[in-house]
Amino acid sequence: MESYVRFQALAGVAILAVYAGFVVWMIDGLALGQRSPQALLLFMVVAFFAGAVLFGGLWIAHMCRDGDRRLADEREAAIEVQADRLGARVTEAGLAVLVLLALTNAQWNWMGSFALTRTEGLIFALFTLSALSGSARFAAGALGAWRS
Amino acid sequence: VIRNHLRASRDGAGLTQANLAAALGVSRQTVISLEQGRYQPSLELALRLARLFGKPVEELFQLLD
Repeated sequence: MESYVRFQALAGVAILAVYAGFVVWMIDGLALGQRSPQALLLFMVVAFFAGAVLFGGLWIAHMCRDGDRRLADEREAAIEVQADRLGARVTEAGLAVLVLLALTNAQWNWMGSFALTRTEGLIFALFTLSALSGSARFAAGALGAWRS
Repeated sequence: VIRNHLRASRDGAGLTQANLAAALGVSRQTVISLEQGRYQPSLELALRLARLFGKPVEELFQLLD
């Protein structure tokens, strides 16, 4: 498998793994548990640094495989543009869904502990959207590189 | 549809895919994709290929009807 495909796929899997950890930590039964702002902030910071280290490591490993390259070549750059575009579209669509959820919940109050008016609910929704768009972006990158 | 003769030109020049990739500053996978016609190069890369093989671009790449 091409190292660029592996890099993209692993980055997508890493995002999903962090998200899975977040879901397990946040959910009690079928409801969102209460977490202190400090605990949420700590989770974000840890996830950010773990992600940065992992992503950087994967990127360096990919670049080192192909001799002395330090920049993405033009094929990879073209794939990145397409993948970024898809990630942006997923984010836009997700934000529209969040607006819809907020409006319908304000009317019928059906979201319970997942309500976006709760800090945990809002963070859970935004983290879900971020994980979705990120994993979709890297899946698109892996697929684009695999197909070209 | 664009057809190219990169494989024949590379073979004629006695270059491996890795050699060509290094000369162009791209990945070997990009050379493979180019040769298989799955990726169309930028104008800059096409001109660099033409210069490297000492052939006009039209000889390396042909637009099919």
